[in-house]
Amino acid sequence: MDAIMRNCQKISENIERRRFQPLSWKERLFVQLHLRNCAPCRNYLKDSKAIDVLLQKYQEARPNYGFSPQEKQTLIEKIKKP
Amino acid sequence: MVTEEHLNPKALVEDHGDYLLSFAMSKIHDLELSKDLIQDTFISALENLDSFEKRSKVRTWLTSILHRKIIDYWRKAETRYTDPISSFFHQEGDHQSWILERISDRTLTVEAKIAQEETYQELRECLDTLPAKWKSIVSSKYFDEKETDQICNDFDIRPSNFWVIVHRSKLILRDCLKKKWMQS
Repeated sequence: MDAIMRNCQKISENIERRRFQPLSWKERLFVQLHLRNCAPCRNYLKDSKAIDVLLQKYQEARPNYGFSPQEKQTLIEKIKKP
Repeated sequence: MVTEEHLNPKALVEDHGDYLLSFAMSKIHDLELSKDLIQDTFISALENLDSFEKRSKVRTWLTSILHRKIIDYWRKAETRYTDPISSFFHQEGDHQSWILERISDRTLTVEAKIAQEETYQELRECLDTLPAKWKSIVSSKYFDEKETDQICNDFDIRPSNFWVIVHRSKLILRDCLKKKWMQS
């Protein structure tokens, strides 16, 4: 049990990893046991999910747009001082 | 150091046009309008070159001008609409369909839009505090939605290292956002 509790670092990494990859049954068990007994890791899990949501929303709000070369040329002509 | 050659019309458009367009589109979702506002931004910028402090970044300066124009646009757009309650009691002649109002992307008030924009701005600033390589890795994963294997390949890191970087980056982001949000 001590070994599980000591390793917040490893658990946090597994918390990140499991969003994208399945963990082994052993890793899942360790994460569950650890989370039950470790408030900082529970907080990290919550914050990590919140940051995911924020990044996701931010990503949706920032699609990439660009001017075509032709539009750029026109724009340059328009903003040149008369 | 920024020199004259960074501040001529061609350089401004080539270096910052696309960035500003993405920035504007993320706020107002109207391509033609965004392009108009960017044209205005460049004109204002070129007319006020002396307001640019040589120490700051050109892009930051342009973005702040554009941002002011967007907020002005929101304010004008909002005053064009009458208060919905008052219009209910004062319907004369034809009225505009509520569906039109709905799809014209006015679901957020000016204040809510500014608050949301501030949050994104804070997130951008916090992302900028990450080490450059970490920032690229987080962007690849979250914004470009690349596969982990691909990212490890691109950045020449081991998968176990990748998760450490994601975890540490999030710790930095969390601390950075916390500091910013406690200030406000």
